[in-house]
Amino acid sequence: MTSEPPTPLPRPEPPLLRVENLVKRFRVPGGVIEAVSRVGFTLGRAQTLGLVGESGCGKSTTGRAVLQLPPPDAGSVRFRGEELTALSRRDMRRVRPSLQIVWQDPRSALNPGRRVRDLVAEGPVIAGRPRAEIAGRVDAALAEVGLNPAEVGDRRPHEFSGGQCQRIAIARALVLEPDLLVCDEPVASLDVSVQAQVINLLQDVKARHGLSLLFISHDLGVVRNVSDRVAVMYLGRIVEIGDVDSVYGAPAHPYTRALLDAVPVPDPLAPPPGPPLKGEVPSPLRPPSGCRFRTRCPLAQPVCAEQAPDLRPVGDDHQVACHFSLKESPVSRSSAPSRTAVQDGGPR
Amino acid sequence: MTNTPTRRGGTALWLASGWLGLLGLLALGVGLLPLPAPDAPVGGPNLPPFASFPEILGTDGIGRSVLSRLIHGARISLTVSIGATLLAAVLGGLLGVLAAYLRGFAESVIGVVLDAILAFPPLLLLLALAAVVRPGVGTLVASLGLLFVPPFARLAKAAALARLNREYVVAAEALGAGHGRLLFRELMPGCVPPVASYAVVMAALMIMVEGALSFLGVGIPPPAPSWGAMIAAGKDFLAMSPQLVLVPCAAMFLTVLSFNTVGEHLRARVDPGAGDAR
Amino acid sequence: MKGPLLVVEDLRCHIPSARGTVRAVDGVSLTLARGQVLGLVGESGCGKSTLVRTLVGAAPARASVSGAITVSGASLTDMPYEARRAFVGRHVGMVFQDPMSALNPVVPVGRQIGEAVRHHHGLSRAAARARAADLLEQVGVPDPGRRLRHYPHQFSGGLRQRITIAMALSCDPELLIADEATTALDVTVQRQILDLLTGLARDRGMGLIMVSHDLGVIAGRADETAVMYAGRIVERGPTREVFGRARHRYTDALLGAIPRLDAPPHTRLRVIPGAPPDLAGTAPGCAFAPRCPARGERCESESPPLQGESGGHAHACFHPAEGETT
Repeated sequence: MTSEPPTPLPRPEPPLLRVENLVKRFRVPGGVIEAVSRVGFTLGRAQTLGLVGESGCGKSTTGRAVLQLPPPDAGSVRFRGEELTALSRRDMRRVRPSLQIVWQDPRSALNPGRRVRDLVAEGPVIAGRPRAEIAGRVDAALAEVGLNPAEVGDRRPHEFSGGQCQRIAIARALVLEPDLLVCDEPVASLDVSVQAQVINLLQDVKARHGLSLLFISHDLGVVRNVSDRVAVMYLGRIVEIGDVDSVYGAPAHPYTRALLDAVPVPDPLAPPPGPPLKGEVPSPLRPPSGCRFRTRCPLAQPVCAEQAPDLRPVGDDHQVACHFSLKESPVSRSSAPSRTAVQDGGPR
Repeated sequence: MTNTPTRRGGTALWLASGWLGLLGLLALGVGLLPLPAPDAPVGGPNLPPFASFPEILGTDGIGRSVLSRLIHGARISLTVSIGATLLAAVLGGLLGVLAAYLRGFAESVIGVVLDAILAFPPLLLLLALAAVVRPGVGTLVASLGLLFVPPFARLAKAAALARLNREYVVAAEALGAGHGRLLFRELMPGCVPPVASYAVVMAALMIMVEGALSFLGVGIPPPAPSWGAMIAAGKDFLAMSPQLVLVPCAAMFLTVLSFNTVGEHLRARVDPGAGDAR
Repeated sequence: MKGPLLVVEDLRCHIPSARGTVRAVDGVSLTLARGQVLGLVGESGCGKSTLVRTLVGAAPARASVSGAITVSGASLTDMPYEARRAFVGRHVGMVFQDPMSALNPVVPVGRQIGEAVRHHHGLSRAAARARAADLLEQVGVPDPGRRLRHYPHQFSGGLRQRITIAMALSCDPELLIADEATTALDVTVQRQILDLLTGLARDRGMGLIMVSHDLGVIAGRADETAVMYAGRIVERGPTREVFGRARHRYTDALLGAIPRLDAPPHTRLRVIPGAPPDLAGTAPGCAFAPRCPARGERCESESPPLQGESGGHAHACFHPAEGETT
């Protein structure tokens, strides 16, 4: 691709996280489901990738498979250039502090029997950091998420509201100074007024520490607010990925279009959205052949049942997996060197 | 969450705890009490209760002190019951939590072992053991303890699975915790309260089982004074001296009832606030 | 019949608890005309669910309820218990958040709908069956004749909710109450169900109360919107007015706290500090005062009444926002 650039560009830094052909299967009573099916994306430093989709699309499973909780069945997860799927359990434990997660249900993720101070200190204790150093770090982490360490340190999780528990959970991750924070529906269980507090907190924390976020959510509004890039998932596959403005501004996949149309907008004067989608997500036990969205797709043609579309570029940082994309590929323009050093996403 | 004992337990709970406490003290301090030896005659046979001092409960068919035998019997009955329960609870608890945590092959192996124990006719096993090994407190504790591993394992597995579904165990793994920490710091502590409250109820059952076995002659061999053995010996004099059966029966009844009362109370406290249990 | 379908006056539902009396509903007044959609919006614990439950006579046990409820000119509060239950059963349908808890898992759905029909209309078994199939068709269940024999677990989440809607319609209610009916559903299915509910209300001329925590759900569908906070209605009016010119500081702040699809990424969200109040407390003054950016002395001592403005837009705030939310 580097066809004599005018000035020697520095070699772009490799992305913090590169996921390729990720597959995760589960055995369920009716057989085996492929919850994540050949998913790939990249995430740069200090960047946020939103992973959005309806329930059962595999977004949470993807997030956990990246963290090897549990490890994926196939595919590659390279974090800071290191292949996580090849690491032994012991080596993985060494890397864990750099990859942290914030869970959907903060109450469930905090051991009810422990005090807040011990919960936050758990990571550093496991990592074998010196005792003397831990107390100070714990206090600093609690203060950073807006809790008074002296006040909350000796209390237990059930004494706190959902929003406060989520702050504790964030402090628990922050104290380890991670590079990547997977946020698995971190505000789904919170009220709107509290949700905004947590979103702003995550944004502050991200900016202050140069964190990368893999932000998993079903809420398209939240994902748009926090993300630089976004990947839309449907039934285990990424159907569209790109920078937020491209994907939200000019969605190329009919599913993304329908999803955006379905979001209830808090504005009575909003223009009427396009036609609604028919039916519901099919059972992952028997996914449709070819393109998995074809059973609900308004544009489906015979070819969609025969051939599963691969991701292909339709813009600078915008790829779609659809035979009849709503936006056409800028083929003629792609020979020019890209202006920015945006890393591409997805598998080749 | 409740700082004071709930009012639901009330008087019955206090009486039950009092009885168990008294029994425990007597059993522990039996050597310090001015009691005659339980296996030597102190007077004529079949003395009625309250007829002489200090033998207020009278004597049995061969002139041994009923009071002394009752208190020494308490020691043996409680030792067997508590010992066997502890063995079953610890072993069953560990196996259950391990099965839940490891899943897969280990879970199947543990399941097969437990099913094998359950499939064994318990009485036959004890009779066979009595024929091979010298019967005694140790043998009884070991065999009863093993026999009662499966129910504890089931309970512990269910409790552990419920906790594995809550995210905090995975959350600890995400923080870098290893197997040991996950098992002993995250999973086990939450499983202790349900297992412990069940153990108290099981201790009551063990008292009865020990009594029944001794009554059948495959438990504690005479002349050691277990309650079951006392009932067995007393049944020959039932018409003449019913107190020889009634007194150990009453002791056993009160103890079983007390264990059940305390156990139920503990269970009620553990169950509703399972999430808040330490 | 003329006059409004539903009139609620000064309804209160106070629930005794270990921590004191929980004022879950504390002086709510409402009117709803036939064929109108009322959106009732508020965060968890604001009393919106207790309000609609009290409306249909299903207030929590031991709660003390006062106030007046009139449906189609009949005063519910004056009726004896049994008569009231029968009246509500005939005139009001309810749809809840979790369809699985509203459906009997071991009875085929056709029988469940048919039973309700037979109960209200005294139809024969065969007629009830035909009516059940007809209802399923109306709520958009494909192949209703065959689906009648299926059990609830054989349906997807969206279809289950359609079935509970069919059950709610079985008595041809004049008023339909949907309590967080789409909260558990995915957005694409949520949109289908919302379209169904508003379409049914329009076609049948029913009154519809949509209870939701999601301002977006209300905005596009309700004619009137009422915002609840701490057991009271703090703002009420035509939906366009309430969303376009929010006067109460809580409504205003809530609208600013929502991440919007049309705002650029990384837009700083407006934050409402603190958390919703504990309704067991009995502090005087405006319940929102501790979190309010515009609170004055009066807000802490005196509870603001719901004051009307032109066009039926009312708010309960001493220092209202000027309108024009972001």
